[in-house]
Amino acid sequence: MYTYDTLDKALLNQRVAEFREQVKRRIAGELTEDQFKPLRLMNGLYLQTHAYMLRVAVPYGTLSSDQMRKFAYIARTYDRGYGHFTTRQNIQFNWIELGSTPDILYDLSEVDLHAIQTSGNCIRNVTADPFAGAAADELDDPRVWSEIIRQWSTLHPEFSFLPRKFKIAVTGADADRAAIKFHDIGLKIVRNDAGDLGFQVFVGGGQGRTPFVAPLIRPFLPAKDILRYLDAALRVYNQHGRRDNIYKARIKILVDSLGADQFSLDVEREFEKLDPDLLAVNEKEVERIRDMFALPYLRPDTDAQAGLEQAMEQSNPLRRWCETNTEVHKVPGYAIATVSLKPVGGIPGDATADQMDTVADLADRYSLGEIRVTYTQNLVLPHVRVADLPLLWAALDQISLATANAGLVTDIIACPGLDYCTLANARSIPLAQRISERFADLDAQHNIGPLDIRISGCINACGHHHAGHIGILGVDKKGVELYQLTLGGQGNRDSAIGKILGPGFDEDGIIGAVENVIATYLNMRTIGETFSETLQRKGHSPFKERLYDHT
Amino acid sequence: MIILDTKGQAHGERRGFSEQQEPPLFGATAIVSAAALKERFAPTDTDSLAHTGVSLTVDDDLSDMAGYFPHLAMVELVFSQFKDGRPFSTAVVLRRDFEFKGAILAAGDFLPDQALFLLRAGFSAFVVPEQFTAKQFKSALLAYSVAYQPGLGGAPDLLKTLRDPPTAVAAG
Amino acid sequence: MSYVISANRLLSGSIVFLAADERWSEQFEDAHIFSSDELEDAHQIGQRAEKCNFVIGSYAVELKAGTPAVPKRLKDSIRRTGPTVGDHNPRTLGGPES
Ligand code: SF4
Repeated sequence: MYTYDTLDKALLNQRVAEFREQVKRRIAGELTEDQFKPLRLMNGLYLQTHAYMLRVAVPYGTLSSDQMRKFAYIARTYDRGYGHFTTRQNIQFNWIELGSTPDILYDLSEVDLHAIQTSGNCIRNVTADPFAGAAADELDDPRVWSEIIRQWSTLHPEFSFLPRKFKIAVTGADADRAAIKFHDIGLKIVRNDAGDLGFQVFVGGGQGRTPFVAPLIRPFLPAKDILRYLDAALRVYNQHGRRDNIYKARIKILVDSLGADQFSLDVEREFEKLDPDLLAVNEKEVERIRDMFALPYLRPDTDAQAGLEQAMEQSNPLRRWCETNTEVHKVPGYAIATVSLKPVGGIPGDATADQMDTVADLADRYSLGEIRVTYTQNLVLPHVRVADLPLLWAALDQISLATANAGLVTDIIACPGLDYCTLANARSIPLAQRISERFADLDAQHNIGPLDIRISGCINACGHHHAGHIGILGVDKKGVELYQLTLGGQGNRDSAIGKILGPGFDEDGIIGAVENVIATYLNMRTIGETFSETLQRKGHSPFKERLYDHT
Repeated sequence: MIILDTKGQAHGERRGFSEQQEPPLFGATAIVSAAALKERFAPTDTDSLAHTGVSLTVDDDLSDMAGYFPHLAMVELVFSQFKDGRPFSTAVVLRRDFEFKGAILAAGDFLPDQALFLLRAGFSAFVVPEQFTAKQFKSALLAYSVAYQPGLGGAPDLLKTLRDPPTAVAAG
Repeated sequence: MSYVISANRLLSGSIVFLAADERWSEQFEDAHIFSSDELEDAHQIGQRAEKCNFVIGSYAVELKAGTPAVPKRLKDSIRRTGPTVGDHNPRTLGGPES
């Protein structure tokens, strides 16, 4: 993993000291709330419904066990003993005081963690494939490039007061576990015909009020030019992005209004003007960073699978967990294990301090001290020996984190919604809890198969409802919570935006509607057909008929 | 209003558009708006332009005035509000595409907390906003000794600097 | 229609309600109830407190008709009583699940 050198540390310490001063000046009245707000947001500090909320970056989704322990410590010391992992691979602490935030940032800095640019109209902390460095289908480790982008974008003198927030995601695998096409800039690592490493650049994706799947604007960008190209794209956006209307200020609107071709031309023109050496990525630096992410030698173990088979013979729960919650590792005999933060009836993404500590210990014991955070609000232990899976599973089960539901109907993404968020129209968490209770039976879940339900409490779409197979959006109808249902979204390589099925439902109604949608699918599917496949084959109408014709 | 350069030196006061700038501010004895610049001078009036500064709003189009920049004494970029970061890019482009070598002044609504960003984007001085003091700007300029990006202001560019070797190898 | 004024304390972020004599209380029950006519004055008290950097984000909470006084909108009741979901997710605190 990347560890900070003295220069990284110097900058981080100076950032903490700067924020401490800013808080002092705010309290003394030298800064007004209007002036202070963007400054605190750039340090991850929001004012939410009940208190301040601090959003801490999990750098491109990778954590060490010590970093996880620090989260546990923060949760216990400054919060109410828990934290919430978000759809941007971050963690949020919900009950924070302004006065103690500089101390929290100081504590975090001791393990190279920070809240820099986790909010505000700036380049947000970069996100990446949570299976990076472990996945069998990976071309190159996206964290190497994410770290380079993190450095370049941190306290950027020119791009810290943009028209709106700016999110960059990187994937090194075809499967796209980072939903890159729903980002302002999505980068996919590719090789060209000559075998050189580079990126496909997608620009102008996003959810929210006007959702877009990002168009490809550069089919191949040599890796060393990545910062030069980002610099060009950001300059075009900073100068020409709309600032008159918050709902039209994202780069997706600029790309859409200019057209992808024209936008691409504008960026290329700016790119050409930039001195190629100024931001050329230094190969030595790439190697320095790459070395830090390199996987130590792991001895392949081709017999492990047979041993696991035997253990699974003995335990059906273990078998189910292995089926859904483990993935193929690039080293035979190892596995990537998903730690579900979606227990039946729980709050998606929440983890208690004790759970965090235990996961950290398990990471030390079974996963080379590494933990990942997914945008689907789960944790991952990326390097587990297949032979250790039964032990890991049993240990996770002890702390209620062994739910065998990764990718299934109860692996629900839900934003904090009206229970915590000031922008919300409706609650999200109680819906997630009720749906998960309704489908608690694991046999039934496994029978239903892969299905993403995603819930947002308002059109900002932090719950990624546009990209859910089943999406639920909370709206406010004359002071009453109402939920809209969308079908057909996809957050993977084949990103797609779901379509609204019809008029909204109240809370009970939406639970019934989800049940009916799933029942309709089960009735229509052919053998082995997933929900998405059935939906694609039959279209929306059978679902619509079932939901609206008899009511 | 007080003028402070990015080294923390004071430079007298910023006078109004119709007033004589006395003593001259970064070589400018008068500061004019974009409209006045185009109305009163031609790009070929190099002698007059050498004593003139132009004050630009976020909506002024630089390419409109391309011919003037090589000869102007100074350019003032006015922040309409501190959250509108267009002037940062304007300064970069002014230096790079319009080869402007004179002083760039930040004016209008901005915060001491932006002082280093301004410096690094190519600004040379600040018209200190009413609410703040020169002292606050001076200390803000000292807040960081390092930066990750190339830029003006002397901080090492960490993307290019030789970095410490890793203190720890990958986990495990 | 009647209202109370609510805000968050600047330093702690905690939710407060404007009580009589311009104090801010953590207790909804302490809140002074303003009529529509008094609302303008109430807003000004809130804004003064913001200027003095005691609180931020002061706004009027609309109340349901009748007694005892309770907020009309769900959002405001959640502000008053806390999140409607688990006391920090108690279900994940316990032992192994089924
Ligand atoms: S989607 Fe809306 S309600 Fe949910 S967290 Fe985002 S802003 Fe808040």
